[in-house]
Amino acid sequence: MVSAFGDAWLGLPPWGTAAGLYLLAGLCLALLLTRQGHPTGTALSACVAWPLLLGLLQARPAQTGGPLAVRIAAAFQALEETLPAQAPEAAACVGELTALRASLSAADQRLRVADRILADPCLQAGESGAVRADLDTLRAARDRAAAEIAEVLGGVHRLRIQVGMLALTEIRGEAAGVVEHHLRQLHARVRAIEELSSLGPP
Amino acid sequence: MEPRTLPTLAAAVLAHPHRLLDDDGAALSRLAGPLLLLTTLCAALFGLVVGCYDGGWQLLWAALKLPAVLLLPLVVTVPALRALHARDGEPAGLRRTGLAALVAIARVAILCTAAAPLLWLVYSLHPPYALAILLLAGGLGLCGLPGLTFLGRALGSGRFAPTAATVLLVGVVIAQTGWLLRPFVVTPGAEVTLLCPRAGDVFSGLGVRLFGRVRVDDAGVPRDCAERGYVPRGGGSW
Amino acid sequence: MEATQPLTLPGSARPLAGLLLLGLAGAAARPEVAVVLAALPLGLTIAAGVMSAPLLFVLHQTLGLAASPGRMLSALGEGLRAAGSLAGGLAPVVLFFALTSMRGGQAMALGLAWSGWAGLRAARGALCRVEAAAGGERTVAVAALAEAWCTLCAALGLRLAWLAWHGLPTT
Repeated sequence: MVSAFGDAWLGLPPWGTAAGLYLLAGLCLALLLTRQGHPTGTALSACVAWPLLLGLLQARPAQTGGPLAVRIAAAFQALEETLPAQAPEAAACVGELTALRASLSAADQRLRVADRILADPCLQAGESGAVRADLDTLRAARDRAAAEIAEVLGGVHRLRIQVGMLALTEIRGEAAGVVEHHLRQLHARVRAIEELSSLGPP
Repeated sequence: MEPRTLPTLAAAVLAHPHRLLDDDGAALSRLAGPLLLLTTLCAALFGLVVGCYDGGWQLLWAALKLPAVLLLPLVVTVPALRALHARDGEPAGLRRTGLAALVAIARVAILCTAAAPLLWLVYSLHPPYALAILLLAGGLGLCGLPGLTFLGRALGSGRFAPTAATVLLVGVVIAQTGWLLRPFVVTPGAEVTLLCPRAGDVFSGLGVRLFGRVRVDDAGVPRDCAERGYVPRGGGSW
Repeated sequence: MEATQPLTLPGSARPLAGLLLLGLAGAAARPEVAVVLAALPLGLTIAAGVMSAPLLFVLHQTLGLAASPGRMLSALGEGLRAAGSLAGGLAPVVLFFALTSMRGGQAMALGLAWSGWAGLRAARGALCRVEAAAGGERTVAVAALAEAWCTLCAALGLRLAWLAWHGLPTT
C-alpha cells in the first residue's frame, strides 16, 4: 500500500506554495524565452530549471568579447560621456576614439583566443616538454598583451582626468589639442600591442 | 562540431566537456534542453536500479526523485557558484555558470548510469539495509566527484581553492537533497512512501549509519521512516 | 591603472544587501528572532570593520606607508564587496538548509564565516596593491600590517558573533 506524502512537511512556507511559486516563475521565464525566439526545448527546460537559464535574458554579449571587454567598454563610455560636456571642441576626435576602441577590442579578442588555448585541459595534461614550453611562451605573451591593454585603459582614464582639469581651468581651445595628442599616443601603444601579437614563435 | 543527438551529446559531455563551454556560454540556448533531458533520463534510469532493492512502487518513486536530487542543488547553488568564481570583483557570467552547471550534472548522471549495472549486481544479492544505503551514498559520491570537479575547473580556470569549495558546497547540498527526498532504499517489509516526514538532516542520518549512534529508542522492527538520529533539544533550538 | 575601486555608498549597496540576504535566509530557521538574525551578518561585519579600522589607520600612518587614507578605504571596500558578494550567493544555500533541516543557524554561521574570510583575504590583497600603486617599497611592512589587521578583524567578528549567539533567547 502506498501512502501519499508524510505529514507536517516543511513548516514555513508550505512546500506546496514554494513549489508553486517556483513553477510560476519558471513559466514566466519560459514565456519570455519563447517570445525571444529560443528553442522550445529551452523554454520547457526553464519551467523546471529557470535559475540556470536566467543568463538567456541578458543581452547577448559581444560574441567575440574578451576578458577585458567590460573594462574597455566602461572606460570608453565614461570618456565619451565626459567629452561632449567638458570639451565640446574636441567632438571631432570621437571618430578616433571609436577607432581606438575597436583596436583595443580586437586585441582583447586575441586575448580570448589565447585564454581558450591555455585553458584547454588536453594541452595542459600533455607531458611533452615542448608543449609545456610553448604554453609558457603563449602565457607570457598573453600576459604582456594584457598588461599593455591595461596601460592603454589607464591612459584613457588619464585623458578623462586631463579633460576635466582643463574644464576646471576654463582654458578653452586647448582641449582639442590635448585630446588629439593623447589619442595619438594611445594609438601608438595599441599598434605596439598589434606588433607584439604578430611576433610568432621562432 | 556541435553535438546533434543525445548519444553524441553524451559523448561530448564525457570526453570534451570544456568544448561545450565555448564563447562563454553562448551555446546555453541550444544545449539547455538536451542536457536537461539527458540528465533526467540517466538519473531516472539510475533511480530505477536503486528502486530494485525493494521493487514495486519504489521503482517508480526512485526513478522520479533521483533527477530532482541532481537538479535541485544546482538551482540552489548557482548564485554561490557565481560569487565563488568571481574575478576582479565581477561574478562569473550567468550564461557560463548555467551551462557549466548543466554540463557538470549531465556528466554526473551519465556516470551514475554507467555505475547502475554494478549497483544492481550488488543489490540483487540483497545486502543489509544499512550497507545498501552506504553503497548508494558512496556510489553517488564517486560519480559526483568528476562532474563537480569539472564544474569547479570550468568556472575557476583550474584554481584549486574555488574548485574544492565548489565540490564541497554542491556535494553537501546534493546530500541534503537526497536526505530530503528519501527514501530511495526501503527496508524489506516496511511501508513504502513517496517521502518521509522531515526528521534530522543528512549529517545526523549519516552519523547514525556510520557510527551507529541512536539517540532515540527504536520500537520494534526498524521502519524505513522511523525517526533516528539527533533530535534537537526543545524541538528547534540550534 | 587603478588598484581598487573607490568606496561609495551606491557601490556598497550591493554587498550590504548580500549580507542582509544572508541574515534573512538564516532568519527562516528561527522566525521568533527573525529581526535579530536578519541584521546579524550585516551588523557583525560593519561592527568588526568599524572597530578595527582606526587601529589600521593609526598603524599605517605610524609606519609611514605611502598609500593615502582614501586608497586604504577603497581597499577595505574591496573586502566588503567580496564578503557581501559571497554572502549574497550563499543565501539560497542557507535558506535551503533553514527550510529543510534544523541546521539553518549553523549554515548561516558557516556562510558568514566563509564570507568574512573571503572579504578579509580580498581586503588584505587590496591593501598591498594600493601600497604598491602608491609607490611604496615597504612590502613586508604593509603585508604584516594587513595580516595583523585581518587577524584582529576576524577575532573581533568571532567574539561579537559569540556574544550575539549567546544573547539570543532559547526556545
